Amino acid sequence: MLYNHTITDHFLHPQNIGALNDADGIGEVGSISCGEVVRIFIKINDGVIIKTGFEVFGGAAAIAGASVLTELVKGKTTDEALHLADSGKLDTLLDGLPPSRLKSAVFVCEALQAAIKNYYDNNGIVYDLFEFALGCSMCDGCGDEFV
Amino acid sequence: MYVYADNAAATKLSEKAKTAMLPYFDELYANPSAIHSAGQKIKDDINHSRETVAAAIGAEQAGEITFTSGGTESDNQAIMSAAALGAEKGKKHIVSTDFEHHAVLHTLNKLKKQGFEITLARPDRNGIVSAETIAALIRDDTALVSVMYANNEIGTIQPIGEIGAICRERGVLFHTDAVQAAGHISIDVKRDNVDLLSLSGHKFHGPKGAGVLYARKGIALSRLMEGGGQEKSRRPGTENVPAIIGLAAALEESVSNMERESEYLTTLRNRIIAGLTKIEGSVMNGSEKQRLPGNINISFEGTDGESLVLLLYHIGITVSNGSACTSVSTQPSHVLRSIGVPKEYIRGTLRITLSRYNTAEQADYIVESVTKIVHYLRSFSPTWKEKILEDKERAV
Repeated sequence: MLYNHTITDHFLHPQNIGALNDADGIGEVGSISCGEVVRIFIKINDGVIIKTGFEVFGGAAAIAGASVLTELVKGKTTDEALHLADSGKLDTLLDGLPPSRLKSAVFVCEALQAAIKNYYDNNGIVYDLFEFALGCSMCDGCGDEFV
Repeated sequence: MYVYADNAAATKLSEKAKTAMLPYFDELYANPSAIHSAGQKIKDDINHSRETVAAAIGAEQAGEITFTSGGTESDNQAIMSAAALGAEKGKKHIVSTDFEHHAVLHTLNKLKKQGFEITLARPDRNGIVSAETIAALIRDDTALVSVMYANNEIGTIQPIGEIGAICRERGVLFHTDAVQAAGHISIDVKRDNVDLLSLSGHKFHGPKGAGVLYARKGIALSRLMEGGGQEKSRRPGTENVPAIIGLAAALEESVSNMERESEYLTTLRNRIIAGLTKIEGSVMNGSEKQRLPGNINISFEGTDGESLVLLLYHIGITVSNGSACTSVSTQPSHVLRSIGVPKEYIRGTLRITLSRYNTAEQADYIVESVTKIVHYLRSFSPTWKEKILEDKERAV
């Protein structure tokens, strides 16, 4: 098997799968051309993430990664969640992705950051832009037909 | 239910091949190059296998058959040999296709670095490279044309007889990688004017680790390795005797049952195609007519091939999303790109390849399971949801 037990388990039994109809923030990263799209939904109460959801067009790494991260940030403040949205940390939580699938962890983390940014924007909350990834940071060829 | 439907990657060893092989592990283990009778008996058995293989592919004589370690080695040796022969005459141009196996493409790339010029023909949307396309690319300095007999991902059968006739007429050597075709469809090197042909044991219920390189009489093969005088000094190293015996037995069996088996597999294949193309947003890749009897290659918009394969495996169905040789890559397959599968579909591709051991009940289980899993993946696919929204907007 290409993936370890932790990844396989989350892939087969994902948590928080599906959209949230009452989301306060939605973040999306990726495109059809690059073969992966991750969309994360968050519901906030008093600055704390109380519900999460996700949608994925992609492989097991993206589905398992989104499952782990959306579970981890429940009950955390948006500030705490931003610190957890780190692909290195997520890779550790997944007990190690195959190197060819590290991109998926980056997508998942950036989608959560985008969801938090979207929540800040919607609610007029001031933030430091440099706290956020500026999109698809590992990718250098979005203009290509396939990346 | 357990269903194995990844037969383009590897097939189950047939009982006949296994029975034929077994004595060569612990009874008939002498070295075929030894001069004592124990060794000479093994040499005779290898040569009997050589005759069997020659007959199965329509070769003129057994001496045209060289046993190798598999399709990759045969492809490498065929192409390097033809290139060396061409270079002697100052011919350093090779014609091939965009969607060959990497054993061919990477060998050509090596030659390119050595100063050869390589022209790759692009298959049409149905996955066929026409003889006219190849004819137009042949030049006076063309040393070799290499076109696969049938594609390993989409199973499309190329017009090898027509291409062979053109190459013979133009005086150009013609190699075909017949790894996916051998044992499944009729191959006749004389009829098809083939000069060099590669095949591999584990694609037709023979063992892994044995392959064949056919080289028409008079074509000098260059060695890839140096060593002893085995295989008439074309392929040094002690022969993989059990695998050679098993390959020949399996090929003979497959060829003698070909007609019946082809009919059986075509029925099974069409049953699955009919079931899966009922799914909305699905597209078959490659010609339905010029196609290997057991190959199904189909893409589902808004899904991911890796997720499809892993979820199917979880419920007992072993299939693939392309060539096993490139499974670590996250790039869409070069074969699907070469025939122009749209980007909305290309990632969600399944290759289902059948064998004589599959049943109608298994075919129905495949259709039912793939349908379920495609719907499951789409239930949380942002790209599929967008497509549905766009379709609705267009309808309004």
